[in-house]
Amino acid sequence: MQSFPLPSVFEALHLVMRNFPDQFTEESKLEVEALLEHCLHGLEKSSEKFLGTLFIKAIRKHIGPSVSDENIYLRAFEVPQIELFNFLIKEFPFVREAQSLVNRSIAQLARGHKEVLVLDIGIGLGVQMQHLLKELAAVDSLQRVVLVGIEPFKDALDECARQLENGSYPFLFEFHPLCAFVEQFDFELLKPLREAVSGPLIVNESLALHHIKFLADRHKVIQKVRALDPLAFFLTEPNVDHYEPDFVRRFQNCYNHFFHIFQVIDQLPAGSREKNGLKLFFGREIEDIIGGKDFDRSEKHEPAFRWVEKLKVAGFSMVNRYVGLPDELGCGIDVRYNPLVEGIDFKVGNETVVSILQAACAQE
Amino acid sequence: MVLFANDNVEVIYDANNYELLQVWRGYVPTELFREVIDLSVSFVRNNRVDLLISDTSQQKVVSGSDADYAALVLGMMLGYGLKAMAFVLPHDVFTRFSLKKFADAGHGDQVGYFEHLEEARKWSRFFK
Repeated sequence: MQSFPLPSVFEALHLVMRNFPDQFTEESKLEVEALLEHCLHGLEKSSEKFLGTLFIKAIRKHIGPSVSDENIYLRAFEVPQIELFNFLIKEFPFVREAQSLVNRSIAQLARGHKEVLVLDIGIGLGVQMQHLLKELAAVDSLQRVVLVGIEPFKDALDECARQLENGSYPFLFEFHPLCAFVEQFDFELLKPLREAVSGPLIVNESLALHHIKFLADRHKVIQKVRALDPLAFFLTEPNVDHYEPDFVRRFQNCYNHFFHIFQVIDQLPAGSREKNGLKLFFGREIEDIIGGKDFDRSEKHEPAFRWVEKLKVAGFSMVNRYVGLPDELGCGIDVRYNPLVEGIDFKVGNETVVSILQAACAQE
Repeated sequence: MVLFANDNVEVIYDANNYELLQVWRGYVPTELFREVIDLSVSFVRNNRVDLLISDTSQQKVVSGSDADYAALVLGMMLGYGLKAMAFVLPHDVFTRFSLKKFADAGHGDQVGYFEHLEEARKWSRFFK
């Protein structure tokens, strides 16, 4: 025969990762080299090879320099940060549609109330909240919306405040930017606001809670949210276990998760420049998950069922009050209610990539 | 006739079938790899060899530059009268990638890849 079957990149990477962090011999370095050469050949046309290159890049400091420098190849795919961010918000369906579904559901809960207090944990540049305010503008009963945004990065928070305060709203709007890491935030500060707003409190977090490094702090934050007695607490989180301490298992989880994300990126209605730029962007997350030391890592995702456990321990119960579940998202994504976690799954094939959870205070 | 033998490599010539067989085992460092390749080139130049079989089934990874070197000298051997080269495919994941790099260098129909030595020998009959 003139050709022969090759092993998958995952199979080879899995063997490489068994040498992590300090068992890379001269022979195993050659193995990495052979895999890297394979991945770099036709990188731009194969998600599997792109992903393989990003994983090798992530553990490069443990392997040492090689003949082939993946950075030279990858640099060609860099896209300016601001352009990528806009693309991510506007075109990447997981973020766009998950936030949109949450916003519609929050607006539904606000109906019939004159005032509402919204707390957004990890508000960032406030993109989701700008869209939420547009949704709330269609809620006739609302006369006053008070938004509290907690965000550790001051530059992002300042920009967020500028954007939100430039908007025009059919209700009285107040924004309270609070610059803090949520695990260090004094929730007592919210009590006066809670008392000053006659309507319900709705809490949202999107891709923020997994940045809390320690499980105990995650529990504490959720318990503090519960103590505020919100009408609803929405969580949007990647459904994958990157908290896993065992390196090889964490690698398997990580590869599987991003493999499915890359399948979606390949189907986006965009040019290869944007698609490859987006893949490179996720390379930074892979570097954190795979290359970072356990204490330094910030992308410590947990699967949805673990967030549900924390919510229930804190005295929440899961509720199904979602509005406008999209029928068809395209790009191979299915959106379904998952009765096991009582939340919404954004699935690619059999893999749930992102989960939305909605919790309400359990009846005592 | 055994032309070379150590723990990692054996090179055997079958004068009845004009077949040169290389059997690789484990990780073969560059110096040894190139020594065996050079020996094979030299033998092909000075003797009748119709078929070169490289049994890589037990071989471990080969560096990219060694794979390039082997691809380069194959052209020379074909020029010296070699009719075909067959590989017995490696079990090792990474050696397959090394071999793919070699395969991508070309040489078309004169190179075949097989799971077993017997299949390789059967294929070589087409070149006699």
